[in-house]
Formats: sequence, structure tokens, C-alpha cells
Amino acid sequence: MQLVSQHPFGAGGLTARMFRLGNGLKVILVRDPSAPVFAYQTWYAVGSRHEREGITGIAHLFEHLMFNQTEHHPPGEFDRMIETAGGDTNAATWVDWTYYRDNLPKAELKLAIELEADRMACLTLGEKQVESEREVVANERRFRVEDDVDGFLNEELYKAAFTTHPYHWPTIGWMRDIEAISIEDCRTFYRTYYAPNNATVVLCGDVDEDGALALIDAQYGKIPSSQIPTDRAEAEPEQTKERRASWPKPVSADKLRIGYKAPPIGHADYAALEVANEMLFGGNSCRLHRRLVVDSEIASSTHAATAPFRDPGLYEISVSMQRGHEAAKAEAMIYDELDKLGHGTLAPHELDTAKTRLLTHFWRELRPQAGKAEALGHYETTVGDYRKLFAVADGYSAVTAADVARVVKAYLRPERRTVVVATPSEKKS
Amino acid sequence: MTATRVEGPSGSIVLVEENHDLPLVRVQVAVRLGAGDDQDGRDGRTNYASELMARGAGGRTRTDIDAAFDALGTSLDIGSDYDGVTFEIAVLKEKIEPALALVADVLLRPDFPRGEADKLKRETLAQLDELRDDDGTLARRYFQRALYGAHPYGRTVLGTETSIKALSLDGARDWHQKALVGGDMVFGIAGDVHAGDAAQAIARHFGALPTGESHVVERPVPPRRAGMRLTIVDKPERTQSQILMGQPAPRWHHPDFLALQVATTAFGGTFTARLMDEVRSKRGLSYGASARLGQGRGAKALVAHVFPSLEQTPETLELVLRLWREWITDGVTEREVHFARGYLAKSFAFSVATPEDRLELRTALELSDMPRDFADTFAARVSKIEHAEAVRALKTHQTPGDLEIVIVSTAAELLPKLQAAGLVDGVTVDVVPYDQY
Repeated sequence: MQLVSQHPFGAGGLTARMFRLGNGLKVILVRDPSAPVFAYQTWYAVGSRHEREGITGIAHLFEHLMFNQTEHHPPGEFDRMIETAGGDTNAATWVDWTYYRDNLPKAELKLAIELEADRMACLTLGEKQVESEREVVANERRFRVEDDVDGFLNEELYKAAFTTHPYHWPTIGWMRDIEAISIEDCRTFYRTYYAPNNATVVLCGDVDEDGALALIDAQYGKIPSSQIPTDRAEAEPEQTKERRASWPKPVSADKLRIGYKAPPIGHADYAALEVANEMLFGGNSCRLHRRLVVDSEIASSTHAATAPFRDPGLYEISVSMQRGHEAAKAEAMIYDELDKLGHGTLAPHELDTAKTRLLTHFWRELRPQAGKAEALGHYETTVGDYRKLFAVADGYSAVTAADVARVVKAYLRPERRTVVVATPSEKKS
Repeated sequence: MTATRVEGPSGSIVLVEENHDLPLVRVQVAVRLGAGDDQDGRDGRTNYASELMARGAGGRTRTDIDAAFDALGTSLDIGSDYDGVTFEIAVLKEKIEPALALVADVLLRPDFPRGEADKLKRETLAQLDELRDDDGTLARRYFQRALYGAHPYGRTVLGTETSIKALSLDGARDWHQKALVGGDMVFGIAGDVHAGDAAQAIARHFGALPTGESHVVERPVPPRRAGMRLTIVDKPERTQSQILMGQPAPRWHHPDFLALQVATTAFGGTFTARLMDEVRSKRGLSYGASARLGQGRGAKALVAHVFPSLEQTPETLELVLRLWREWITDGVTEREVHFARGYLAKSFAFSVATPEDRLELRTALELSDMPRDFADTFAARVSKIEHAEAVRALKTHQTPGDLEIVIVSTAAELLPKLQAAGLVDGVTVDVVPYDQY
């Protein structure tokens, strides 16, 4: 196990260290004895971007299959062992990654390492395992998309905004693909992407560093690396025209989603767009919450964020309208405010307020061990270097008023946007 | 790391959790008067009054207050619940003084401006519309009413269209006068702060807090209705059903609570518990399947939750009803109890893993009149729960045939399927529109 790099984590004396095994597995470790627990996360550089039409949703299906059965553990035993030890375990899949997380009391490190190494190499993929998870995933899709108007709009937004890049399809997959993915598809996917040289283990908490590294070496060291295919995600062509769609839904008032093509998380303009977003939608005094919710009372809530993706994603704006007000009214106000911000009309305090809010949020997310591990794993997997996490705070501080105006003008242009709306299927007074 | 508890201004309590790893401080102020104390017909008063406090205070307008919190890098989160209200912020440590001054203005010197009072009603009505877009939240709202009826926990925290429109400024002022009294308040600070400094800062900023008379009343024992009742909350175009079922349970400080918690954990408290195993792992009928025992000052509910496809709703409901009956009638096994108590004892470390977690738990304990050594003794106490105790608690406090069920689904499609499966024979069935409550 070789030490690759290290970086201070906050000002309280914590340090993040990265090691690498001979088979390519990366290990990031932060020893923090503030509570007798630890977070153990395994980040695989595989997400829905690595799928194709016909097998959309397979990366997410693995999030389920990985808890099912291995050569050494029957179905359900993984969860049972973690819970018997007092821990909890779950996983998440998105466009660029899949990660598996275990939170356990400090005495259970060996268990986490053994179980995670085992399912990286020895997963059982037969008809029984795949079929038992397929229906659960179909139910999850009904829950998150079919019966959830926000989930539905989010799916339609990306479907319309991306035409060639894999961000076009939803991470949970189209229902027709969930129903059609074959066992052979699963076996190929597992052999290809579930390998030490496609993974980063992140361990934060009350652990002995040397002991942890020795255990990891012993359990993962023998797992062979894999030939990871070159990422062939097709670049999305420049959007040159606004795209729009709307649907009647059982809602009381219009729901609006606007997505502008935005820079990826590793881009130099990402921080400036974050600051711009904070000025527009970031708190109760920000421009658009004030205008839409407080002053005009045409909307009941607003939200916006830039997708933290490896490739250019979307700057997403969501507005829930108040009864009797059409989404078009909110759109007009949003576009007007973007125009003003793009032309540099900035009150002196706005920039400082936005930066302070972002910094506070940044530190809050890093408080729990799982939050630390998630941030480190995300930066290593998506940006390619966990140390860039520690540049985020400085990145916000460096943003100027001119940067804000520039990114708004450059990215939030009419021809770069896609607009989707849900309208009440029965108009109410 | 240090944890302290000292007396604060006017008989209040100050809890501090020190931790200097990150440059962050959370401030939390809790009051004991909650939505359960809203009188009949005034559902939503606690929520309305507490929100209105931040819409003008100490001579500052809502705009001034919002801008001031934003400039400090935070927002004031106001959370109303049945047994109290919490006001909460998180700031960088160098902002703590101006942040406390601002919170003190909101809590001690609200202006209750008329223009904002009317506006808040319109905003709350819009919030109610938005709530109806989420089937899970909708199910919980209707379940609370169906299970508790006229009991304080049968009210809605947000209010109804009728009650929100009837709320008044005088009512809000009255709530503030009754709620913001020293003896019914708990201050909490967690993070990069020294305990002595924190207590002094609270005393400095909240010294004007009145002592006042407590208006917190004991929660009555909720009614237990005989038989099975089903409410279908009718919403169009559903492909799935949100199902909640349950009964009132004993209070948190009841001697049987912990044993019942062990029995509930064995039934539906973890991913590998009986309910999840039978519903999701073996049959794939629902993405989630759980049972939870509520904790609060009064008797909260023991509730099971599943959400199958509309097509599979009869099969799932039949299964869960059978599991529920078997659980209460036959109890839990020795093995299940052994697992559940071990899980609860060991996983408790995560309830106190961060200074914010510890502060949250300690505040909840204070608000519910629970023993202060709860956290220190929990693991040992739960480890001693015997199989017989868990079974006895279950049989004492739950009955297999008396069950309140709420399903959010499309009634025209669901009801004939339930009838065909014989699932509503002898059951009181009520179909209600999803957007009228």
C-alpha cells in the first residue's frame, strides 16, 4: 500500500490521506476519533452514463443486486450482518458513479472490509437474484417518477435537454429497459466495471490507520484489476434553440422546470455559477425567491442548483406556482432577473452574502463522518482528485462580481434552455 | 468534547455541546407549546404564530430580517410539531454574536405586522397545495386525523383551509405570550464554541425573557377504537398506493416503551426485519416496508408503511394484515428479540455521533420530560430486555383486530379490487377526496 498524497481536512487537526494498492484500488482515509463510529464507502466510477439504450437502469439495478448474494453469503446476509453489528448500509447511483456506504461502530471495521471486498469480486448473478430485484426497482420507479410529479418533470427535462449524451436517460432507467435487462447484461456489466482499479474506498472515523490499511490490503489485494473501457459518452451538440414541453397532471397549480446547459463540476466557471445561483435562489432575501414568492406571491416555492456532473449538465430551476398563476409569469420574471444579473447590476452586499451562505453550507455538509466520506469520494470519482474538495471554499472566495455577470451571460442564454411544465389536469378556482 | 446543562434566563435550560473540529456553530431554541396545544378549530395556530415572528421583529421588517440572516450565511429554520417548536440556525463561528442578537429579536420582540399576517395565510394555503403533490406526506396527514380524531395529535400542524383563513393576529400574539416563557424553553448550542461563553451569550441576548406561567398541558390518552377502519384518500392517476396502518402506542416514558420498541424493531425497524423480508425481499411488492414507534411527550403511534403498485395493492395489503395479526398474536421469536436489542444498543452510537446529533437528542429528552441519563444508559437498558418482556409489551399495548388504515390511491380502480379480494368485508370504509383537507 503506497501513500499517494495527503491534505489537511479543516483546521481541527484532521488529515485526508490517499493510498493505492498494486491492483489500482485507491483508499482515502481520515482518522477522526470524535465519536466511536466510522463511515466506509466504496465509490465505483460507473453510473448511468456507462449504459446504452436497451439496458438503461442497469447501473442502478446493481445498487440492488450488490446486496443480494455472493459466493460466500446467501441472499440477505450482507444486510443482516451489518445490522447485527449495529450499522446501517445503503447505496446511491447517479450519472457518473455508484457508491456503497456502511456506517458502523468502531469495532466493526473488519466486517465492513470483508463484506465490501467480497461483493467486489464474488457477486452471484443468476435468474433468481436478478428477477427478485427487478420488481423492486420497478416499484421504486413508480414511487420516484410515475407517481411523483417532480420526479416526472426532472426526467422529462433531461430527456429533452440531452439528445446524444447519456445524461438523456434517467438513472433509474426506462421502465421497458428495467423489464428487459438480461442476466448476461448484468454479468458483463459486473465483470467490466466492478474492479479495484475502478473503485475508491473512503474511510472516515474512529479507526486505527495502520490496522485499517493492513486489513484492506489483505482483503482487496488479491482481487485482479479489470480492463476498464474508455468512456465513450458522446458529446452533446451545442443547443441552439429553446426546447419546451408541458403535460396535464393532478396538481393544484403549475410546476415549472427550466434547465440551462451548464459547466461540469471541475470547470473553472462552476464556482461563479454557484455564487450566481445563491444570489438568485439561495436564501429568503435572494432575488428570485423574493420576487416570485414574497413580493408577487405567484409561487409557493423555488429551488435551483447546478448539476455536479463530470460532463456539462444542467443549471436546474424549479418553481411551484400558487393556484391561479401560470408558469409563464414566473418565467418572465426569471428571465428578467437573469438579464439584470448578466449586466452586472449587483448590490454591494449580495456577493458577500452569497459567499458566506455557500461556505456555511459547505462546512455543514462535512460534519458527519458519512458527509466527509461522501464529499471525498465524490470529488475523487467525478473530478479525479479528492484534494479539489479543499479548494471549493477558496474558489467561492475568489469569485468577483464580473465573474458572476460573465457566467450568467455565457451560460444562461435563451437558446441553451429547456422548459418543462406540469399544469393542473382539472382547473380549479 | 464536553456536554453541559445549566440554568438559563428566567428558568430556561441551556444545553451546550462543544466540538472544535469544524468552524461551525448550531444554535437551537425549543419551546414546549406545540400544535397539539392549538385549541379546537384553530389548527395551524402554532405554525402560523411562530412563522409570523420572523416576519417583523425589533423594528426590522421581514425584508431586513431575511437579509440579515442571509448575510450571516444562514436561514432561520422554524419547525413546528405537536409537542413544540424549534428555531434553528447554523453559522460560521465568527458570526455567532450577531446571529444570537437576531434570533433574540425574533423570539423576544416580534412585531406581528398586519400585512405580513395576511400574506402568511396565503403562503400557508399555497404550501398546503404543494403538500398534496407528495403522496407520502398526504398519507401521513390523513392518517393522523383518522387515528387520533379529536385528540390533540389529530389536528394538523399546518392547518386546514378553513382554520388557516380563520387565524388571527391576536391569536398569534397570544400564542407568543404563552409559549415564550423561560420555564418552557430549552436553548442549545453545538459546535466550535466554549461552554462558558455560550451560556453567557444566551444570558446576554435572552435576559429579557419573561418567566411567565406555563400553558403546556398533559396530553390525554388517545382513544382506541374497536375494529378495522379504512380511509381511501382518492387521488387520480395513481400507479401506486401509499399505505399506512397502525394504532396509538404508549408514551416514550412509559415503562413498557423500550420493550415495545424492541418488538417493533424486530417486526419492521430494519432492512432485514420481518416486514421488509416478507414484502420486499421475498416478493418484491414494495420498494419500502417498515414499522416505527413514535416518540414524544404524549402517546404517538405505532405505524407500518408500504407502497406497492396499484395492481398489487390487494395482495400486499392482505399480506401485511396477516403479518400484523401474526406479530401481535404470536409475538416475536427469541432470535428476533436478540437481534433487535443488539441492533438498537449498538446503533445508538449514531444517534449521538455529532455535536448536533447530541444536542438534538438532549433537546428532545428535555421537551418530553425524559430522564437526562437516557443516552448514557440506553445501550445497557435495551440489552436487558428479555423475550418475554417484548412479547408482553406487544400484547398489552396492541390488539390484532383494531387497526386504522389509510391508503392514498385512485379509489375507482382500487376499491373494486379490494372488494373482489374480500379485504373490505366487515371493514368501515371511507373514501375522501385528496384535496379537501
